[in-house]
Amino acid sequence: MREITVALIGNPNVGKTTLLNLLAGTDLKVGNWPGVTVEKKEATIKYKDYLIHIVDLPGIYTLEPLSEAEEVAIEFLENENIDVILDVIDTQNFEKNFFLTTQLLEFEKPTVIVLNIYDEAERKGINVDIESLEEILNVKVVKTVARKGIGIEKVLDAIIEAYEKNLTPSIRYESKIEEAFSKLEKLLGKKLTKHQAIKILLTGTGDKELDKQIEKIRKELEKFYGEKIEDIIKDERFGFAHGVAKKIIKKEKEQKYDITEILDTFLLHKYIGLGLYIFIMFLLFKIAFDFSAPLMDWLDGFLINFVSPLIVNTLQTLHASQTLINFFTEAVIGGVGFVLTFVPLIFVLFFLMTFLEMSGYLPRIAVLMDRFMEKLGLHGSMVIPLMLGFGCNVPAIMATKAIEDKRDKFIVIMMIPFMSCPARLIVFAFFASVFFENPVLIIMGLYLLGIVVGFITAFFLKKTVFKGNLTHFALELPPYRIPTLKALISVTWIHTKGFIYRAGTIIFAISIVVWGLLNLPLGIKDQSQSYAAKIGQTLVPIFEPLGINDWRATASLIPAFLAREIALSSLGTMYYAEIKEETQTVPLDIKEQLIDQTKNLFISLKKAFLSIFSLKIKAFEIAKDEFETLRKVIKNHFTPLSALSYMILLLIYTSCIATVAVMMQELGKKYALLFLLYSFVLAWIIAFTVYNAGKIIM
Amino acid sequence: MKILEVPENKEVTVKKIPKIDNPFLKKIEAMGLKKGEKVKILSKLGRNLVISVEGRKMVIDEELAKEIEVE
Repeated sequence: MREITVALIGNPNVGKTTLLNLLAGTDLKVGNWPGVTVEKKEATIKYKDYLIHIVDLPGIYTLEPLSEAEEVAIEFLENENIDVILDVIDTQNFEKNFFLTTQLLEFEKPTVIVLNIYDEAERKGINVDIESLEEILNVKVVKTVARKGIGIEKVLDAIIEAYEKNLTPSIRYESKIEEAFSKLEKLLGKKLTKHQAIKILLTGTGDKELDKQIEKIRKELEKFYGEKIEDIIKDERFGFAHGVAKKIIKKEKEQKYDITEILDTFLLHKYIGLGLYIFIMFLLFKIAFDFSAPLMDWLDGFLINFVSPLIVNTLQTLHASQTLINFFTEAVIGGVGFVLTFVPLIFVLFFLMTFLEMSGYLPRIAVLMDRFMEKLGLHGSMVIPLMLGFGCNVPAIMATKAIEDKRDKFIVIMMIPFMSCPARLIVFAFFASVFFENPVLIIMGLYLLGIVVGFITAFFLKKTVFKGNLTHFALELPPYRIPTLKALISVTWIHTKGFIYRAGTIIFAISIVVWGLLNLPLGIKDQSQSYAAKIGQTLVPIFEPLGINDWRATASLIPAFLAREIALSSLGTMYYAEIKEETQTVPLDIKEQLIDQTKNLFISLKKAFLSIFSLKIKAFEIAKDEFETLRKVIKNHFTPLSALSYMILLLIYTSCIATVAVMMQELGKKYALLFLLYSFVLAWIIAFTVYNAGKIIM
Repeated sequence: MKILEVPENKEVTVKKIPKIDNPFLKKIEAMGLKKGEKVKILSKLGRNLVISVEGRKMVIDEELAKEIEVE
């Protein structure tokens, strides 16, 4: 089987992601380009006699190195062994998209041009003469409507054809420039692609003698055109794009009304737009929390009432030791299972965020919020990663790739960890509902505290390290589109898979360690003799001024560093010993239980869907009967004030290894660790202040 | 005239984008706001201008808008 490496490239918002999802299906892999936070998607597809390896490059407008995104694309196109370039164009916007295409044709590699969103173009009276386009450029051209899955299979055929025929694109600039290219080739004694020739013309070769000659050729051109070489090349590219568009585009009629214009009248309105934004955000979090809540409850019940007894029964029939049974119920189900019950929340949250992204609404948020951010000396586009931070800090930090300015990027990365994520909400929801009359108020207060700390941090950075002007605003507002369910689910699944993977690896490992620390050294009767108790006790003096003096609470902060929600599950594991006597194994009727569980699943699904039709956020009305046993035990070890202190600690202190890891990648080890220290000290100070102020008041 | 001075909804033609080394101006140009292009200001929001260039809608801030000459 032969392999074809394909570089997928195009402007932002042309449906590249949707196309890739359709081509790759479940084979899609997401990673990062080395050294930068730009997301890298790739897939290998078996088709006919070929293994087609598609690498998705960032969405960009030009190959000039304006930011990391362009640099990644240039680097890949220049240095990797690419067989075919797959260029996606929004047909409605042919000429503007073709500026990038022109730069791609300069590589003189077999090229397939995908004219996507062809249906909307036709509706606007835009027709493309595909045969002429193929003939003029010597490339393959395919019409697609990726949203509807039209024309997709032809893309793979076109890739193979372009590859087999080794189609070399023909692109010609004005004769003066072509002459200069020939001179360069003679000078260097080898054939050059247009891309290489232009690059040498612009930046030289590094060889002093040669560069003197090249300088001569450059000066000649600049004299002839009366412009700088960069501008000559740019004008040529624009000219070529314009020429091609003129030859092959037939425009019949102008469409009068435009759905994007109508929607933007409201969504981008000074006041109405702001109200709608708040409403959309409210809906987003409402649906995320309420839709997932019944499913999470079901998963929880399924684990406790079915999986756990099933394992116990099976192990008992196999005459396994009590230690092994304990290991499975406490470490596996209690640790990993607990975290896995959050999969529905993560999935729904990512689904909705992806929907907003693919629908074209996200850049509007940046524009709307810039008015307020600007007053604080910050940039409107920072709002998007900050918002994502409420979903999960890790993808939020990765989303800062959209911010061009390095300074702004640094600031926003330092703000994101203070945006409270669902992992923290889990801990808050539990403690707040156990210790406070009005848990919703406490939770909202904590969220607000996080936001305030984030902005104070930014303000501080802006006043000291990053003095300077506000960054420019230059952004495209793509037309609104309804994303396909398939693409939505596919992108959402990639994120969810990452979370499950973490549960199965890091979180599992930590659960074992925690369980081990609690049950070692061998032969202890009581957990107060375990290693965990010793570590916890050593840490107690640090946290005592904050009102946290139970070794189990301080010990839980160690595993919590791997992910905050583990704080609760490890507290659960540690207190489980205390409440174990109360639980007993009941004989299990597998068939009956299975029927019951299936019934419950349907009831939960029904509840989930019905929740969408109510405007209240039900998830905040926390049911009092959950975790009944753990609730009782925890009450003996915390006071409301020390619980608040514990929550503040987990909110402000960046207790999440995944976040710290992605920060290291973004800012370097030094700054990431400095930030970690900063967040800990800050958390300690705030918790100390709140705890002691509370003590005085109460 | 600079694009910043153009009233809302009036169509003008870009005369010149200054050749200064500003990646944002370069990006705008690559997005399609270039010499000879017809452009219209749709609305002003805070420090930003929502503009429409044939086939593409974009947002630029006042500082950038001050640089772009139109007629």
